[in-house]
Amino acid sequence: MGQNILNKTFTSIKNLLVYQPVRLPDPFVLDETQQDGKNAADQPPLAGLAESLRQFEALLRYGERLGIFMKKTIEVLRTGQLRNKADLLKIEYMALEKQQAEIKALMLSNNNSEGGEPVISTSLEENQKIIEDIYTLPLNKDVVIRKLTIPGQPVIKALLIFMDGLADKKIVNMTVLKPLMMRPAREELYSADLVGIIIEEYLPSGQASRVGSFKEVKQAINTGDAVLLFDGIGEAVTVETKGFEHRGVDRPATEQSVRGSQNAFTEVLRVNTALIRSMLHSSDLVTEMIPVGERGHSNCAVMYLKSVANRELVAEVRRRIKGISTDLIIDSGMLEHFIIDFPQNPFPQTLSTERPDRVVAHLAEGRVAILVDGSPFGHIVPVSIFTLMHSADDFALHYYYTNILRIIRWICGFISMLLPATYLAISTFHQEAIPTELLLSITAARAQVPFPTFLEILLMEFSFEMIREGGLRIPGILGSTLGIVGAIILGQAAVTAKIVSPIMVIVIAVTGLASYSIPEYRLASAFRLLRLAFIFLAMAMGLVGMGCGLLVFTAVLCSMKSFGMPYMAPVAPKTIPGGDIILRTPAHMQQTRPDELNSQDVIRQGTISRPWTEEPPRGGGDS
Amino acid sequence: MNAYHMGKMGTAEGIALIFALVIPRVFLSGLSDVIQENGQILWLTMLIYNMIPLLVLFMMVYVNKSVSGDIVAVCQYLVGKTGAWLIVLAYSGMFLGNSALLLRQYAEYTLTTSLHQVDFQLVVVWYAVTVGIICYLGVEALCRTGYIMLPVMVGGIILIVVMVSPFCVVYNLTPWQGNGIMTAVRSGINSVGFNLGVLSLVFLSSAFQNAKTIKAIAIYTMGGIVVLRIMFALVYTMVFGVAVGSEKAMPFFELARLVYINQYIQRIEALFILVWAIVGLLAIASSLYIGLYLIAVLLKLPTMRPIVPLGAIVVTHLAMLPPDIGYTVRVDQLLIRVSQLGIYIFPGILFVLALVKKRRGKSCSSD
Repeated sequence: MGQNILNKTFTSIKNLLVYQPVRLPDPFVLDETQQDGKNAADQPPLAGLAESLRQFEALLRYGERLGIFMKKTIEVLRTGQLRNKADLLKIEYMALEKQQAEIKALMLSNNNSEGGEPVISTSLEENQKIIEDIYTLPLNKDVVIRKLTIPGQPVIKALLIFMDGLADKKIVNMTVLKPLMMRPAREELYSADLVGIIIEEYLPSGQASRVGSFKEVKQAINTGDAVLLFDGIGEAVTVETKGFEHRGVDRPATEQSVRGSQNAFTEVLRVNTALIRSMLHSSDLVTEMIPVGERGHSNCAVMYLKSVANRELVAEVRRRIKGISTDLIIDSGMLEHFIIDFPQNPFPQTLSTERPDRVVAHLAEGRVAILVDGSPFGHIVPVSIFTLMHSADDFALHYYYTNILRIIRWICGFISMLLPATYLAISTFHQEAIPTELLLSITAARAQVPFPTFLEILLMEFSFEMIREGGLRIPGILGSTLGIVGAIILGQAAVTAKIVSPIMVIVIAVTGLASYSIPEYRLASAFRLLRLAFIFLAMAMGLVGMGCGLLVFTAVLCSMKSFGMPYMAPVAPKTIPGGDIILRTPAHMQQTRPDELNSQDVIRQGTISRPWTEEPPRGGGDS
Repeated sequence: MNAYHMGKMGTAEGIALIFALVIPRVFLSGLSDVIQENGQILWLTMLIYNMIPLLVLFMMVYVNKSVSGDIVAVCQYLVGKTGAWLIVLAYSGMFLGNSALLLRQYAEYTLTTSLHQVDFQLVVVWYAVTVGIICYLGVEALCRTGYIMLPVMVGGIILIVVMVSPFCVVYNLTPWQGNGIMTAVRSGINSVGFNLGVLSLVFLSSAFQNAKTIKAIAIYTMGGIVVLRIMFALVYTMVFGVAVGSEKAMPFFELARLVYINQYIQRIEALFILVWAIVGLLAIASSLYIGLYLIAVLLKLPTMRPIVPLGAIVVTHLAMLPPDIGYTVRVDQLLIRVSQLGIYIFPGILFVLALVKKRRGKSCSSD
């Protein structure tokens, strides 16, 4: 039975009087990663040493036993007692194999924990383990490991490794897999230089070379080449298979740049991840694929640098995306609503970009990128309002000029938000602040306008938004032309008809122009919304109303967080400046990553990032 | 989740909070009263009433370090349950009263200076709603907003001081003894209530990192405020002199009215309304927050947010009680004197008891 109005009223009053706060879990706060330090602190100082000693003894025992077994075998062969003692040797051999299996894991971990790059092992299993460790497999879905058997006498097991999206699969199939797997099984393949024979006779590729270390292996994989590893051989073959998208993709439509990169994301997720990989050749870069949507099953790629990004941040992003329960995610904008902290707030809490170079720059700072299948826009989290005011080619220009542009952008942001409201407040409540000549001019211009200033502003704002929206919907070049023509004709006609005053046209035009200089479209939209709110506040209480509005606006922004990071960081709360807030320092002076990101590796570059300035130049000096 | 939305705050947030609580009376008639009472030596009064609360804060930090827990737990341990209720309620009353009186005074001056045709009640309610929203967002948002606005507030004051420099007459500072050194000292001791807000650092100590942070905040803020206040007061005295200066009800506004740079930049006092509206609102919000926080802690409420609208309504009604601005100013002066309880008596009692209990504890353990 439904509740009647009395019941509902009673329940509402009861809830109000006997209020109990809703129990919510703690919100996510992006703190420093303390796991590593904690683990190190928990362990006694000599624990590592004792463990090493134990492992060393195990290896020695195995070596000693192997030596004895080999001596014994030689002795047996010399004395010709093989038939009698074969069973005994077999048992001992089996025991040795068992012992070897036990210490294999030990050897693998030792190989990986050494300070330098591990060398390629003769064991295919060991090599596979190292590759899996380097690329965080199976979490990382970018790297493909293909096991294959090369027919011949003897049969050789091999591994083919390449980066999905960076390597062209057709080239991989035709120039590597087919020639190797289709070779006659009866032919002998034994040679002292098997790698040389494979390169010379079986790999029809322009570039194929042998490498001996994992450093070279990683370099090849990260740049789109395929790598072949063979069982029993401590070398690898790299084959040129590069085939990632470059210059074929479109130019950015909403984030154009004068000097920056001219590539933009497409609707194909794999192409987008490959575009990022093609700019950030790092084995640290992890791409996790998380399916979202119970019916649509769109793939969502979460990308981060595993040695830089805060682990808790990565886990939180993963948790939020996995926690989405909906039918379908078809766009990155739609995904954003599901994962941000304050979906009701119009201010963007992620940086939405169509530029791979911007994603790469932010990944290197320790942020996390989220891409959705079918959307040419990626999200970068966490962000502050200051990040949103940066543009794509800020680092492509000299920093003096960039700083001037940034100051202009901020001024434009305030103009876009406050100019009509300020005009309204001053002309309605605080006329004394206007110089007398200007006041007379405004009064004369307004004398024949029948509407109050407030209505005039709303009328003009509505017209401006109408022209903007109409211009967007009209297809092709006609849209922008009609927008300009419409604005000029309508503005002029409105002034002539004395519906609006000329100064109002100027105010609205400047405001509209200013709103276009904000680099983030969603931020510009939020400012437009706020502009309306400020117009109402100014109408009610003049500058005092605007002051109240500014204060509440700042307080709301200060209370917001983007994926655990304060939205107004690094200003409020104040953190160590990384040299790129409102103004920026030269790239070579930005030694640390943004402090507020609490990344694992705070240092971006050494104190002296240009050591060549301290070295004597080659050749003759001035003297 | 911390239901009081305390968050994590550092030195910057603390400075902003104390600045917001302590500075707003520069814009009100308090300065005129001090000039009237002390004459040209008002700087000494200011120095004294800024330094005493600093010492008191250090005493309270000691108390807070000796006894763990929030302010109610500390008071309960030292003076018993009834004593704790009395002390915390008294502090809460002082802050809420401060909030109400500031609200009334700022509303009155808004009407006088800029919004002559607006209804008084609308202004009061408007301010109360703004303050309520800010308090509802929590102390972290409040303090960070204060920190962002700090350059605007300090810059505004300094700008006015610089721009009225052509009107300064240095001879107005003579005779430097004013109404007498002892008068200034006595006045300084009696006016400490202006700076009761400093103790909010102890009340909100759990939000700050440690006692060292609290001390650093207090030293930086009070040091800065002393300089700012004395500078402003001296310029004000140099511009208007003691006789005229003690008659002005709105010192900041009166100074701003004098500014004339050229025919295009004059009468800028209207623009400075933004500055003092922001200062006033932050002060009212901070006082309201501390007052409500103390009540929430005292009543052991699970969260503070539901009482914020109630607190805002109560403060609004309190603000509307005085019949006129003259009566409000007199009540405000009374509140400043009553606030001496919160500076001298309560911290004194708590400090002595903490000291005694600590010594007793030591002697017991040595036995």
